[in-house]
Amino acid sequence: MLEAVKLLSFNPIFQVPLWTSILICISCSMMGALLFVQKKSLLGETLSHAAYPGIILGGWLFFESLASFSLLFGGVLFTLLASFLIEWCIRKKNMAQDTALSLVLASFWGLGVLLISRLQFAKVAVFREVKVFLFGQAATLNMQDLYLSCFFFFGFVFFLLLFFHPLKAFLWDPKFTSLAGLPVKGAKFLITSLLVCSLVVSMKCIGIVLLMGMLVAPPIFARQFTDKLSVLLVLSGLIGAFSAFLGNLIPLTMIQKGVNLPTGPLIISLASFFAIAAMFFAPHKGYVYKLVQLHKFRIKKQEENLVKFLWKNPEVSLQEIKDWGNRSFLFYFLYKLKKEGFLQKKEGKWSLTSDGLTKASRIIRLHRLWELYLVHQMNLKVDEVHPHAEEMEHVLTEDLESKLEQVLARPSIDPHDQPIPRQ
Amino acid sequence: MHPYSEVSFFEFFGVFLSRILGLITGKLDLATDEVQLIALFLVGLSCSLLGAFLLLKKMTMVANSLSHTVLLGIVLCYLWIPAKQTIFEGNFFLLFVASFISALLTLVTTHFFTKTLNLQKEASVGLVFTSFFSLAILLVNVYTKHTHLGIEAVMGNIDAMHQNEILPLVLLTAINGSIFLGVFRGMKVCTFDKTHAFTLGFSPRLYEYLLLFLLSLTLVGAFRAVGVLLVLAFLVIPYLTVRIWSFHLSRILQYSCLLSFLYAAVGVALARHLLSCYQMPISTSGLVVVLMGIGYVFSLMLSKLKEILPMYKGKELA
Repeated sequence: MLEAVKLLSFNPIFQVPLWTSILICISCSMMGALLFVQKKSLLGETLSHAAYPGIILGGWLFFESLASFSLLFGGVLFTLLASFLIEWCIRKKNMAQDTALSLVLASFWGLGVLLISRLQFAKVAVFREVKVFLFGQAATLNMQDLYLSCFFFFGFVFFLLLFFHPLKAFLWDPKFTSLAGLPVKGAKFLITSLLVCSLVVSMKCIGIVLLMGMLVAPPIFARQFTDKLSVLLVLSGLIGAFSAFLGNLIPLTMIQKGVNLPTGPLIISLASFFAIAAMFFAPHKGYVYKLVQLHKFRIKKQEENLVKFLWKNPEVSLQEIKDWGNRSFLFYFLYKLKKEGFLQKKEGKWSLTSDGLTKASRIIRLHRLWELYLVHQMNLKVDEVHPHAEEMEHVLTEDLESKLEQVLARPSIDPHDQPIPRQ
Repeated sequence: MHPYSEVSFFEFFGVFLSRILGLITGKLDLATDEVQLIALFLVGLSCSLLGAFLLLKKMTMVANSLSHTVLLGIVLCYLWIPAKQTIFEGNFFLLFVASFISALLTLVTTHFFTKTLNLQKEASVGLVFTSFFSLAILLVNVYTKHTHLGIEAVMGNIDAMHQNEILPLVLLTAINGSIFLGVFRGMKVCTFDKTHAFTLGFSPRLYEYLLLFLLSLTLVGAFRAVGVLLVLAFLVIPYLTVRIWSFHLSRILQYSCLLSFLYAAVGVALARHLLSCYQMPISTSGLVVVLMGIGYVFSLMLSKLKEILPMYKGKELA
């Protein structure tokens, strides 16, 4: 592994593919973030595939005069055409976005398959060039690709820095943006052409078929950590770069063992893996965190219900607590509350200590305050507020408690004519 | 001697008609052109039946995602039974089961991402199929020598199809057709109005699962013939073409089945014509899809005729 890192960082043969793919992946991931916030991620799937016939035709017609630029040129042209067609189908023909995307995708790809089967025999040299675009291979990247990706990357970043605020407005509220006098149509065209360019530039490295993954996975990863667009962009760029780095490194270590890994699918696999892992394990937004929070709340609720029960029935035996219900982990709760000093056991009877009484009266207080609030401020009927309060008594914080006090003018009686305990 | 060598476009149909009796009685073996014709027609038939409902439910990109992940099932199946020479000579039943499971897994994962992890639908569809597909390609590269499988998956390889592969396709189309005939009314109601269907005693969820089951079956069948991407054209384009001219679902289905036969026949004959008259070998499935696209554009251009033609008088076709 260490050897591979050394090889990657010092051997000039690997420098060009490495840096090119890192730059490509950063710009692709950031572009993906822009699509992600517009909820248009699948647009990338159609547009990337639509480039294929363009690449073939470009190579076929102009390869002699323009070399590999002819492929990119054709790709850009066809992708732009596809994006206009999609827009046209949705606008003029009232198609659902889903339908328009699949229609354009399928017909362009059909054209591509037809053309490539002809190109295979007509121009073998061009066919070899085009074949790389399907699944991508970083080893084929050369100096020219590095310049191109560098140029595009800095152009894209420059665009983002320059137009960040209007862009943000456009992404969230195009109508407001147009009312504010900003050129929405121009912005749309600019974003589409940036998307098209970033797709076409990335194809040689990641491949047409899987390019979609680079647009989708990094923003999903970044979204688990932030709510801010700027952080989202930077974070998805970083994770894109990291996947690209690993995607170049791992094949290098594996090739010594005789396994030939393609770079493109590997980069996508890694990025998707990071995204899925983040959805589970990210702090605050991850699934595991949420499960833990839920579990903690359930425990708290059980515990507080037990304390409440003992407040209402002082001096009960274990059997009576068992008969009351809520039997899951009962011994654990009793043990825990006793250890924390809220409960005591005397001659086989359980009762609350003075600390326990304070805790219980606070819960009762919150319960009754909330009932009163619902009846007074929300105009609910007296007999229907109890279940709500049963839930809310575990949720209310001290802050909310003092606000309720204020709103209700320090009450002493709840809607059921029960006294509200003082602190 | 190949019966269709040096045959032009119109002669193709003559030769085909002259051979049809022998083919039915089993005296003659299917030639490659006939295999292609039958395979494309069968795929087209299943796909037009399914495609209509998928389009009405706006689920075509989900179909696209499923068709990608079928590859994972096929690859895993291959890893399990490595003795076979090519993947498609293996046990078809096993192949179907593996692909069906992977399609199911895709749906479940997408659903989990959307509903439980609160990811937006578009992004979760995209994430699931790209990750499965890239995993499949990696597995192909690491564990098998069939690195061309990835290319075959996205392109389809109908020109290499064998006579024996027709039978599973026939079975599949028969299953599709009979189930659709059986549940057509229920499927229709569930597609257009879930609440109404529910009050009538149909279970919309059950019908959705049935649709997805048939879809994954069809996708496995189509995988070999047209690949994971072109199958989308077979699902979408015939329906959209006919939809311009009619809005009766049953009539649309009939006409799109007819169209898919037409496209298959014209496509195969044209491919043969190009080969014999201009020595141009081209991909038949690609040609059929391009023909479909041309047909759609043509039909769009002619749609102005609806204002003139007497049978459309007083009818509003949105």
